[in-house]
Amino acid sequence: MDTWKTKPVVLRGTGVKKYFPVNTGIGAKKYVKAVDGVDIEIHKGEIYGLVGETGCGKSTLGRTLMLLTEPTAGSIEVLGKDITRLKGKEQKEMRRKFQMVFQDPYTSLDPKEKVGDILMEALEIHGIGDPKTRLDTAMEIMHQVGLRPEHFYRYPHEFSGGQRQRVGLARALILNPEIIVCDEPVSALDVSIQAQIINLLQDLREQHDISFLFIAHDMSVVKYISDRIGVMYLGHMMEEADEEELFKETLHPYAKALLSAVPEVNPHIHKERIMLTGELPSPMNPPSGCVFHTRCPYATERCANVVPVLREIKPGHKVACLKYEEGGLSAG
Amino acid sequence: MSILHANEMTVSAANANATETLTGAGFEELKARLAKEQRAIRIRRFTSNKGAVFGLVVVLMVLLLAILAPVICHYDPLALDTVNRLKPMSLAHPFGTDTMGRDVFARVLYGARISLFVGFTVGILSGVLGMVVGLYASTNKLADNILMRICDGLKAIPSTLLAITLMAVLGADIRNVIMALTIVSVPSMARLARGRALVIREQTYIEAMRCLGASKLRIMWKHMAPNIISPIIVQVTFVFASAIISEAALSFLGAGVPAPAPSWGNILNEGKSVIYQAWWIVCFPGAFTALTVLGLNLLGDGIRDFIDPTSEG
Amino acid sequence: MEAVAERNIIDKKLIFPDSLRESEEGFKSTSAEDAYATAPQDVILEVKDLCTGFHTERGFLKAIDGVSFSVKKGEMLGIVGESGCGKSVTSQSIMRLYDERKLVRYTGEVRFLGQNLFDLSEREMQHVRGEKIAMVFQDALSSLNPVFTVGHQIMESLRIHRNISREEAKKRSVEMLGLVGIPDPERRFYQYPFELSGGMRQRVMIAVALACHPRLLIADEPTTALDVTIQAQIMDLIVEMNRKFDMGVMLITHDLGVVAETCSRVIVMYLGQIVEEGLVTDIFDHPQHPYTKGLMASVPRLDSRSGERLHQIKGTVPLLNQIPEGCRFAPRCPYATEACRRSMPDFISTSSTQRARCFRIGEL
Repeated sequence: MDTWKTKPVVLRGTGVKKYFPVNTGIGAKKYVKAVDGVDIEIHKGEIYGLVGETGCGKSTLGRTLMLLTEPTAGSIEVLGKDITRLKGKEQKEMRRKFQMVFQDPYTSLDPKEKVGDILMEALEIHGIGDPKTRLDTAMEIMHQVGLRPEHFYRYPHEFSGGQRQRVGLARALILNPEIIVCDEPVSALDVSIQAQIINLLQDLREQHDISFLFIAHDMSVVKYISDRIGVMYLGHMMEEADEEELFKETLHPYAKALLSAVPEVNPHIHKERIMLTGELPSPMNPPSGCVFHTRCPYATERCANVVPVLREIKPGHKVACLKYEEGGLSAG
Repeated sequence: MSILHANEMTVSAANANATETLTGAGFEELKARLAKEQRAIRIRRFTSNKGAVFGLVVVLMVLLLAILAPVICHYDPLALDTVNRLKPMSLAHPFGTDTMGRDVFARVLYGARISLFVGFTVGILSGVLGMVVGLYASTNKLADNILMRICDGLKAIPSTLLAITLMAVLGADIRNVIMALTIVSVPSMARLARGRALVIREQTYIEAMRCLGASKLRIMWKHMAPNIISPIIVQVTFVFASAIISEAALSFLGAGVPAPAPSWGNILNEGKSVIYQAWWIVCFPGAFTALTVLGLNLLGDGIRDFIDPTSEG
Repeated sequence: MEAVAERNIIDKKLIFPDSLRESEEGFKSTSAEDAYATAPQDVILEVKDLCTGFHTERGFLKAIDGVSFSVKKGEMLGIVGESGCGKSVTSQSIMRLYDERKLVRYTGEVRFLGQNLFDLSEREMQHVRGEKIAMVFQDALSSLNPVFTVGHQIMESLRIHRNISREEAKKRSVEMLGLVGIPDPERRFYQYPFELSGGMRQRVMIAVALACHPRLLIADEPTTALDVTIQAQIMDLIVEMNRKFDMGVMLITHDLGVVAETCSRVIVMYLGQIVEEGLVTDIFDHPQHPYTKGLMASVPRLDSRSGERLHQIKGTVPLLNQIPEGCRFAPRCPYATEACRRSMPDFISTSSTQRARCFRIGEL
């Protein structure tokens, strides 16, 4: 299972920041710090799960890594090449290597284009093959994601959510990318359909050795599919560890609270909940020091002043919390 | 309504499930069958809108009358017949004659040609121009500022006044009528296209195209244009209708199609001085104008249902 | 700092305010209440053989076909199923929210406190809605009117159904806001929905719904749009309100976890029918119907081992105009036999509290 660990890094984001300017009318220009300095590494064939609540910046991080918005700072390397520096033709060439699957299967497909054309267009943009071979490739990909040939001439609105998500996946796959960023790919789907798509993603990983960045808010789904998991809060990475390690030894108070809020599918388990008080602070005006200190049950005065860095506490287990700064695990 | 819609959306998808896997040859057949099925739904939706059917019938009738004018009516719309001036309706002259003895029926029919031509051309031209302006404005901030300020400026002047001014500058000529009316109607069309394009631009599928590395031009013309075209086409029918009225108004004021030519506005203009002696001269072209405009407006609503396969009926 | 304040307010308001208790009694003595006096004590809502159909472009389609169940006083009933199974149509039929003049046809009975709601006129129905049966929807932002303040909307509900003065209504509205755990209710009273966060809006929705102390609360996917931490808070609030007001709650959701944690009884729906019904422990410990089993197995769990494959139910939910013959789940069922495809199974009780609609219950 852990073969990816020895494999090379496919995607590396270093100090990625994304600030959105906000018009406040008069006075100094303000920024929404959607992503505020995140380091991320994804190996070949790895499924990296990124979790966090609404507004934590996980989707913005995904979109920034895909160059759908220009990063404010930091570098993004795909196969060792900094894609933020590439221009025009070179960038288009590199785009084949990283693709994306979107959350809403109802708006991510052009309603006026037939499914077959959607798939073949991806090849056409990059000038791959001639119309005949493009059709064959499209058919082959449709087969792989579990769509039937007769779906080729259908319009997207004639499909159910699960089938549309398969089309979205096929569109990402057809260029034979190294990494696919999936932004909440199953959150709009029913459980039984969700299971089909999750299994499909795992199959594709095994067949093609593709890496996935799997962004979701559902902890159980992320746990299920991921090899490694990162937890984000207010634009910062709070904790990062292997899937099993993270769930066995949750370190960060936020990650603990998040986990405890997930309802168990078992009426006999009554979990001890860590209720977070208050509301998510505005990313326009994030708290000083540790961004979580305003809601953290263990916060001390120091937390309001010192910004914790994400550091490796155990091999492969990183956490950004002052509690673990000096004393190591004993503080837990 | 929402659940009905959801059902409908997935109905055909399940039809697809039911069909077994096809191979090469069956493909074209399948394609044709699906197209037929999709068309059938649209037609059913269109025909369930009684107003739209009525509008279509009216517009087609007027169009037919205009095309077949020489067959239906043997009078020359320009031929003077001073003996038979201001004759009321009769078998020989179903709509009577005007101040110079010209057959009003012939003039109305030939007038329909001019009015429909002006209306149609203005509709199409302003549709195309509006779309181009709107699309570019939505994708480029600088172009947006320049183009939209021009549009705002044009919209600030009452459109009939603007058209009259333009006609005064350009001179009375059918080409100039078309040009003036197009200039007047492009701003609202461009606004509509831009508004729609701004919505479409934010859709995930446009983002998905950028992800695939599609160029700006491709995104604009292959993905944004088809998705903004339905409201544009609907708007075109309304512009068509209002251009007929505007042309009539211009001609009525003497600033439109030059005099002897029979446009509906011209006939009205000539008839207004004798309205107490010969009501039929203004009545028939007026009725035709009103009916055609009504028909076009009703048709516009129906077209919206017809061209947008996902719209709720 | 606000966080601490919120805590305190929740704690204080948990003690039922006196003025509310009075109003509760006042409500019980109204004459409208007497009409329902003959109803059995504990059953609030009894749905008998409910069918809801729609006239569509593709003919008449039955979205709900013969649904029967009941809700008791103080009970939390979960209704689960995937989209298109008729959960929401059931709740909207109970409230008669569809336009009855043209599109919809109801048959069967919905007995609320002994009175068949389908016999009521539209005017009488308006008294039931909001006053005796209240609803909370998934999307709190679009369910609240953006142009009115939060306080106004709670007051409106009170003033429609209760003949009370403005001051009185305002006082109670502020109390309601406090009761649902909104910090600083006097200030929030004058705020507009867009000024509140998603969780707060859902709390306001609940306050609006509970303003008149309904006997039954229908919560249609109340937490689907919310984050897990907020979801936990809102579910706790609904459970707490359920206990405090002793009202029945119908919780419609697709999230089995939420049901397992909060409900006492569960109904599983598939394609407009109930396929299984039982206590929450019955359904989660020993599901009988293959659909329920499949649903349980396809949910990713926190205690799953890595590398495991998720169970998947093959195919998708068929459409209403393509309802299969026989058992509706047969085409997707791994255990289906010829008999299943031929005729529709009836409910078979497996215990005093559990029953399922499947031929092969004993064998599987």
